Amino acid sequence: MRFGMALRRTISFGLALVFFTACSTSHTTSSAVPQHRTPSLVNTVQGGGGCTDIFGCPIGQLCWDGSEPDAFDGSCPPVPPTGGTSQPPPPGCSISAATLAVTPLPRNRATLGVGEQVGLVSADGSTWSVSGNGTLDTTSGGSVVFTAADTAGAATVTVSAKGCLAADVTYNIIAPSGLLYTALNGIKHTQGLADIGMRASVYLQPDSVSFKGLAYLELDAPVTATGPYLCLNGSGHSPNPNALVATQDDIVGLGTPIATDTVESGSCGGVDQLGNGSISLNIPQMYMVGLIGAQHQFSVVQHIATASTGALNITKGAASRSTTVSSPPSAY
Amino acid sequence: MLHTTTKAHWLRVICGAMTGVLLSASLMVAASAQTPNNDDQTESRIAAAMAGLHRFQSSHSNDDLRATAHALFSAIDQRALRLGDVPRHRRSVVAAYAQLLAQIDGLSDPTFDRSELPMLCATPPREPNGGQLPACADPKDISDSATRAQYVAAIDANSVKIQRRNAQAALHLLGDETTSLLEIVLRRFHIRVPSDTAALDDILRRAGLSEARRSMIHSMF
Repeated sequence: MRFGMALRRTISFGLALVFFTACSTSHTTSSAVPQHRTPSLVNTVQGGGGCTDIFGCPIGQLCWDGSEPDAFDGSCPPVPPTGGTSQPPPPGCSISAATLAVTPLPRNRATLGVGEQVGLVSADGSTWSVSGNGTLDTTSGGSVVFTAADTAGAATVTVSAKGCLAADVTYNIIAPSGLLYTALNGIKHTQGLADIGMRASVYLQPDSVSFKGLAYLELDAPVTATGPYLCLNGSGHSPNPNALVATQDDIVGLGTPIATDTVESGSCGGVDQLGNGSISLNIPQMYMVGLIGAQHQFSVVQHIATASTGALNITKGAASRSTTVSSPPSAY
Repeated sequence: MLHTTTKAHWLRVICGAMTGVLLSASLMVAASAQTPNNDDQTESRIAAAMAGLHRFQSSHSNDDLRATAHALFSAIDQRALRLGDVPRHRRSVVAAYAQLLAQIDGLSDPTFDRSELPMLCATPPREPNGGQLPACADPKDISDSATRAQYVAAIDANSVKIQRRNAQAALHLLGDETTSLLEIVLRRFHIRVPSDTAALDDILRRAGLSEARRSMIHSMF
């Protein structure tokens, strides 16, 4: 039996050495025996260094008692209490997490977008629970999927099992804070008219979480127009009634891509095209988690077009384009 | 002398007994390695998870596909798992996920380009009087009936385009969700388990997955 264990250890050590040698990444692992496992997104394994997997779990090392780490996530058996009058409590249950959205990194971030999903794994896990803004797809077993609610707030996922202290992870869930508009190439213009238009890519912000899967739409807003745009005063901004679903991954520096917007002044035709005037409207923006979810307003985006002594300017959010009434005609 | 001989005799007896115990223990260990691990429910959980995919054949509901992906994710019963069983379970779970992804991909329109962002609104045509309302304008503000009808047709066409896109988006998002869950499962298998790339890739090929999908999953092995 001892020979078998020794052989197993030798093989294990050999495997560990192979993993360790093959890995060039470095990481920091606590070598102290944990007394409590406070909310953590990374497993704690006692021992030396080595590679880490997707969760940051160490690879290729032995546990405190010389046994192999868990085959899946590298966690170790609970550390037994030592003698004496003040015995330390058992260690916390292992808990690891990775967002299902592949961006933004890190995948074990504690801030999530509304509706975002996280896969949670525990080597010890038998019972899971959640409090706050989110749900679990199941409450038992070694793995669960947490889904953030459709409104901002906090959620705590707790795993408990026999032989370890319950461990938890707290998530800060945020709603879209606004939209980033970036102007695309090209200006729409009809020569001789106070007519200007641009196209812009629209991103849900912030870029620190993923809003992939969120549906978005604009709501109605009345137009206030003066000068060469007077005929548009009081007209409606009738948005598309079909919400658009974000299907792309978050882009660092921009946000989650959601739509292409056509932003135009329109024109009244035969009136004085060189006078001063403007169009302005404040457009409420809505998001939904899924196409049948509740609508939540998160932003108002201002759309302004101005005409001043032949100069034309159009802006929506941070995007803008300029031309002049006399400029040659152009299209997107 | 007699005393020494007696000690040597007893030493031989003890050593012989220990050898016998060790041999028996080794045989027991070897035997236990071949006996089925009744605590490990992974294979039965994988089979149960696939019930969602079977339900989908009649329900045609994406919810059944999603339920399958999630049930497979929680199918690994790692507390009862033996290291030697990991390769077999990995093949089983990869085969199950491959079958699910083949179903999802089979429903997807291959011409759908998710990088093409949909247009929020249509733009009204210019009216006979020279005026032109901006994109997203309300059709009732267009006085010319022919121009209005043309604009309403453009709005309807854009709506149909968005609705089709949203249907495709739902499948692609489900494919992404399923792939991420498979990725997490495979990453958990990475630790201290020999690679099995050729066999796993063969499983993906036999499931009929596209080259792009196989390549994406292959990087997770």
